[in-house]
Amino acid sequence: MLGTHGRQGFTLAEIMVSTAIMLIVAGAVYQSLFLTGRLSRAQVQQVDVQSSVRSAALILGHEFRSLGAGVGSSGSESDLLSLGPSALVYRAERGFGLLCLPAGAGRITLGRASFAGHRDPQPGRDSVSLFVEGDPASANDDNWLALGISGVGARSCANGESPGIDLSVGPSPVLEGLPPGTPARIHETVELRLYRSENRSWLGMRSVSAQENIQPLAGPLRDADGLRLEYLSGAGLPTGIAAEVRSIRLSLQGQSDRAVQVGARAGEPAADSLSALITLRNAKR
Amino acid sequence: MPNAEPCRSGERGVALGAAVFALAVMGGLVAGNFMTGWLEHQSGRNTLFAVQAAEAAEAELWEAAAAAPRGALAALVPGGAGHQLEAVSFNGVMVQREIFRLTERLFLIRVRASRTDAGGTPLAIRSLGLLVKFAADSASAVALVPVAQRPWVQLY
Repeated sequence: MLGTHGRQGFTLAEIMVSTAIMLIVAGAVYQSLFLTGRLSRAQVQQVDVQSSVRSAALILGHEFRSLGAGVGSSGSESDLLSLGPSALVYRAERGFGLLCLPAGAGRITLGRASFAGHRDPQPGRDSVSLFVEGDPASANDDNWLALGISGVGARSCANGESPGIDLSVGPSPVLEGLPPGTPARIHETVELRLYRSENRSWLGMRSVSAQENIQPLAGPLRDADGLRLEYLSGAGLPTGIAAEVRSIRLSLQGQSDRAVQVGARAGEPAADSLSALITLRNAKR
Repeated sequence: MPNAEPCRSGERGVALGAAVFALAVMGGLVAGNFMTGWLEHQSGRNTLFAVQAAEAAEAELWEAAAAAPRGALAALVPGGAGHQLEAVSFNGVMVQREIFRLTERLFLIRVRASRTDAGGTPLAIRSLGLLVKFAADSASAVALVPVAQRPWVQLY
């Protein structure tokens, strides 16, 4: 017969008490894990929203800053082509370069080393603006000549650098007088607007000149006021005249892709907003 | 024969396993939350660095137009090498400034601002340009002034 020394059992009461305590502790742990998991998911959504509106503000700031308004010999030209509270059509700058050869009839060549841009110019999609110097001793009578690009190729520059970007452009009487070193800007007409897709609102952009479909840039944004654009004159007053615009106030209201629930509140999308005032650097001073 | 203690080598409790499992779950949750916060922190920092580089480039662009030595600019050859101004460094941002002669009177000021870490590795870079001309000002002295139409250039 085995001895019972060292073998102690539990009474029914002890087991019931310990089970009750274990259930309470397990319940508390589960509640804690559940809340932590929910908070974690909410944080991910919040980070996504903040990241989305921040990226959108950076991109739009980059786009708007180089725009010109109130320019040209008459002072009535503007890169802002159509102004709306949640949509804008404008001539976006896509590159900058310098002529490496004298301009010919309907043909210019940009030095590869001097060219800066996200991509090379594309025929049909882009246009080029060339700096036309007036009185060499005056900084006030110079102008930019805008021409369409009908062809893009490669051509050697005289100084032996790698082949330049050869552009076939529309005819102009002043073109042939332009010397090497003349600055050239590459532009593309784009539309920026709030649009709906898959039951959500997005900040979208499309190339008008290339007749592209709209593509999402950031989002989702709030339906009613996800993107607000306010156009301000030099005096800081709202204006609807493109040539008078000197700055753009941008307001983005982002919301998360999924609803989040924190505490006892009913689930709703996480939201965040960002506003920025962007001065057009090439507007008339 | 003495009574032997019952052998307990085959008996194992679940307390240690349960504790390790609970710690692993809690550690995972904490790490997940930390990761989310860290990503947000990095994203915010990157934006800050980009803005710092952009602001430094913008400020130095206009400052370079005023600081450019007239004599050195007059000696530049159109289409040739540029004249480098002294680099400026502050708050982790290094700004390099160079002036090129494009035509007889037209110049391009190019500024490249890099926000670097303590080891000098670039974190954000911004390049801007300004088209300027030698022009006679009201006092009939020659001054370097931005062209009136679209002087500001984004150099990516």
